[in-house]
Amino acid sequence: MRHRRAAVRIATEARIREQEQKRLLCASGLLTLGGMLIIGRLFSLQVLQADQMREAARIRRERTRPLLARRGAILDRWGRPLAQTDFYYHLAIDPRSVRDPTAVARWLASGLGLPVGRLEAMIQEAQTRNARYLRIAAFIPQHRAEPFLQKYRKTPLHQRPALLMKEVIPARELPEGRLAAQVIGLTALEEDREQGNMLKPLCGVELTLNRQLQGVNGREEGEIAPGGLIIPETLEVRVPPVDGQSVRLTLDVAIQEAVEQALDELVQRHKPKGALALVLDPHTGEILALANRPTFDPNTRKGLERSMEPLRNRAITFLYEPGSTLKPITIAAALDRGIIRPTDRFACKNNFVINKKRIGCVVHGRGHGVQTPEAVIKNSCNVASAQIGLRMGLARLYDGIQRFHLLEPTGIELPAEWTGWTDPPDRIRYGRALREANLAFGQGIFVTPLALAAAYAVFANEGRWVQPHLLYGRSDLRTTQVLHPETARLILHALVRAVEEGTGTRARLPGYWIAGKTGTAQKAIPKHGYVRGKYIASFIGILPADNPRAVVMVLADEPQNGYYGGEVAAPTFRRIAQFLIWYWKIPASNRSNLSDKAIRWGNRA
Amino acid sequence: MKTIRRTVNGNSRVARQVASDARGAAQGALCLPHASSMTVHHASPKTCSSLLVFLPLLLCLVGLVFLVSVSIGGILKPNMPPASPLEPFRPVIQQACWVLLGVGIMLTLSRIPLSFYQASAWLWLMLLSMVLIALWKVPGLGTERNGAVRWIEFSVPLLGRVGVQPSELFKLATLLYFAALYSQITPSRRTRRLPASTWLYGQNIPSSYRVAWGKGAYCIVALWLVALVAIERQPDFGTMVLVFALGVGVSFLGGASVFKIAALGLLAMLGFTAWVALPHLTGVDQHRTGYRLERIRAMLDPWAYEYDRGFQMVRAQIAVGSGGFARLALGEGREKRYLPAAENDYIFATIAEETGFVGCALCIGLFAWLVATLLSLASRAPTRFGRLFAGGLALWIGLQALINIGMAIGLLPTVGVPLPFISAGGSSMLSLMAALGIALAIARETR
Ligand SMILES: [Zn+2]
Repeated sequence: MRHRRAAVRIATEARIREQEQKRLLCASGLLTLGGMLIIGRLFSLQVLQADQMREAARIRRERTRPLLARRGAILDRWGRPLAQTDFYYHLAIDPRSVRDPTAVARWLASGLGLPVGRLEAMIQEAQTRNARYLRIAAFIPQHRAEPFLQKYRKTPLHQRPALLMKEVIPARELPEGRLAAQVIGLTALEEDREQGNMLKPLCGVELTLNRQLQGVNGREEGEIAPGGLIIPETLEVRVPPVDGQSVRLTLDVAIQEAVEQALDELVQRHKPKGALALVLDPHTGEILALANRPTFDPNTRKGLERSMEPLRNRAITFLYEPGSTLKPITIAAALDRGIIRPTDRFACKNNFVINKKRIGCVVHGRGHGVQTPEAVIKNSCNVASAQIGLRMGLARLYDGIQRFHLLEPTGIELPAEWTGWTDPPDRIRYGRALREANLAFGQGIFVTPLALAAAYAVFANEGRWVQPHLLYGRSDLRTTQVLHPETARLILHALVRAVEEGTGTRARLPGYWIAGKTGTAQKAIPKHGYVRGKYIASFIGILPADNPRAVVMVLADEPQNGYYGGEVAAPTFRRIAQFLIWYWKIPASNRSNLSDKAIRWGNRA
Repeated sequence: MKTIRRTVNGNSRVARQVASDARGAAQGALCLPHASSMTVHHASPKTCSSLLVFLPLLLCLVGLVFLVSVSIGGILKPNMPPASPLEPFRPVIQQACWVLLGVGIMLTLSRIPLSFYQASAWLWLMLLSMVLIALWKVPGLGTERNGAVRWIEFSVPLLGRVGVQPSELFKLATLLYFAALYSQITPSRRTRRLPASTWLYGQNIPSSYRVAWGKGAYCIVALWLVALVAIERQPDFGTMVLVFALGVGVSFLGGASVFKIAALGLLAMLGFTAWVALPHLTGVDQHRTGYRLERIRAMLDPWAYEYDRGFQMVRAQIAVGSGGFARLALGEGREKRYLPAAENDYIFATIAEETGFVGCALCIGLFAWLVATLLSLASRAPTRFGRLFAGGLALWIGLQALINIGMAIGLLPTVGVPLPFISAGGSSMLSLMAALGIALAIARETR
């Protein structure tokens, strides 16, 4: 029995061993299976898909970082900056790289002038969030951040307190503030991680001359570290940025400043809806100053909160009926073609009726009486102008106006220029006579202030029209001879008399001959007629008349406290003219001076 | 006298023959089977022990080499500026210390007789279970690293602050305990006719020889399960699964019913499904536990979740794939810069990137050799405890390597399971070395 029991035990033990062996085999089989699976997968990844994986690795590892180009500056004619680009840095750290928040906070604070306590709290808070990116300072000027970063870059990697990252933000600075804000225009920051942050132009010269100003961002390609920096040792491609070119404008900061101040005064006195003043060199077509109201501060964008109206440059985006200011142009056209002669006489009886419409002059009593063309300009006589218009006929009148480039864009370097407009003669079916009369004294035609100022420059430039422009030193200017020089001189003389004796007496400056014409136009909406009580007051002057240096235009849209051009715009002109005389040291004129240069009315006959 | 023939690959025919032999032997002769008379050739015990020392040390050396490589990559990580030029190599120095300490522990433990481990196994498991549960429940005891509370930190002179992962030691304790549990076969008084059942059906140990699942065993296994929950809560799902698999695996080697194991596996699957789905179904605590489904989705298609949970998987696969067929570019791998935990969980990705398929195969071959050595020891050891322990250790090393490599090549989701002997980490190294010390003790007794 004992033997038997022992034998059973042995046999059982054998069975147990046998079972163990089987299970071991089973387990090793399982492990082998797993091993095979892994070897298979490894083979697929490393042998079959190796190229794919290498490409995937390359794509993920290599990065392109933009290098920002500096947008070119906008300068005035003397090289003084009107707009320039500064770089600002957003600085950030990787909070995970910070070992000692207090030390890092102190380090940042001493280098950048930030408050220590707040920094430390920020870092600690970011560390509890396990954040990767913490912006510690925004808009630090480059000149302040760069020395700090230089020092940081020179520190060996392991001694750096924390990983610093920067984002470069280009910003447009306008040192002269609101001066010529509508001319210079605005830019907006376009954030782009691939191409690099860029200043995109919105309006003004910034937009039209963008090709020169913009420049080309560069880039560097290399392997990126987990923090987003390119590891210097892996730099593969580096395309340096090409900075934009500076652009020199014809504006003169000093004149612009004076014009802005004069315009401020006008706005204060008359509170117009909009106002404009511009100074043009009649010989070269250079715009020396161009100011608009309402305006804004381009640095802070103050003034643009409620409407975009302050962005409007009325010199080119404002169409109005020139009214009396067109009379010298029509009369010049008539004289130049010999339709009228300087000695012709026109009667103003204040009851001139065309097509049952009465045309009158705003004058007390019985009208202006019998006048020469010179007197028509001086008196701004509507009746006589109408007679001249009738004598010219619509086609020649239209052609005459067109030759002053009033019905086409001037081609100035500003975006969205509007074009002067009137009905071409072949489209007028009825009421031609009235149309002729109206057109002769500036009704039924819409022009931009700039085009009109350029047309007046013809009188100051011996009958030659020069394209007005803003870019200094342009050689591709359009010029045309519009009038015979004698005719131009005649009109200039008449304009002097208009200031001396006529409607523009408030523009007079003692000791200087000023030529000029006032304009008072009731506001008209095309095809709807006139708006009661809303006027556009303007004055265009040439100074000095004996040796023209500048054409100055002042315009006020819907002025209050008076609406006559002579009342609203002429004093502003006077202020600007005073400044120019002082600024350019223009010698005083004398009577003989003018008499010598201008051909006397009547001599031509 | 008749010698009972032994076989390793016991098919049913041989099994029946063995059974009849046993009966024959029972009728007349009495002879104890000789352990080494197997049909498969095995290395001599001496070679076995030297392999058990040599192979792990070789793996440790591989680990140190690639740890240096990863550290070089760390220098080029500008977002983590090191405090000193030697700072990036701190893990290497530490790891070298761990290896030395581990060898010492291995040699020491190999001197202790096996019976000590067998007898004290329950104590270790109980202690470690309690530590783990304390780590889970006692706030402030553990140290948080990378969002998981796995470490208990000590200040050690020379080495600085050293973190111990109790869950790594827990693996060893589990192995010890289950091997001890299943080696306790008590013969019953009654003798019965042996059933001619195959091993597939139920426990092949006759009912007269039962595993002593006493009350104490139930208590300790219950404690073990609670400790598993504690590990999951750290959260360390990977280690939890590994330890569970280890426990079940040793039970399987020890002859636990396949049905029961299958049922347990099914239960585990159900539990896993619930673990994943419940936060979404109930909406309770979803912000903290909702990541589970996300993680599984990311695992199924990491490329679609590349900038989210799939990031590590994608980068690891890219690193592995970049290695190509054969390459030797130690220290030149680039992906380690982007891989989180490149020095422990994802060290295989760097090995793969720098040595290619051939290097990977060699590395896997080393593991296979070590596992095979342990399996051969498991089939030859004189005591059941030794056999179970050696088999369990083979399972441990094999499974852990499979899980870690599977994770690196995108077969398994990201779990915090280190590559045995290679990944940086003291606790893992020490517990593995200790286990090998016990295996050496087994090998010593096998002669
Ligand atoms: Zn009149």
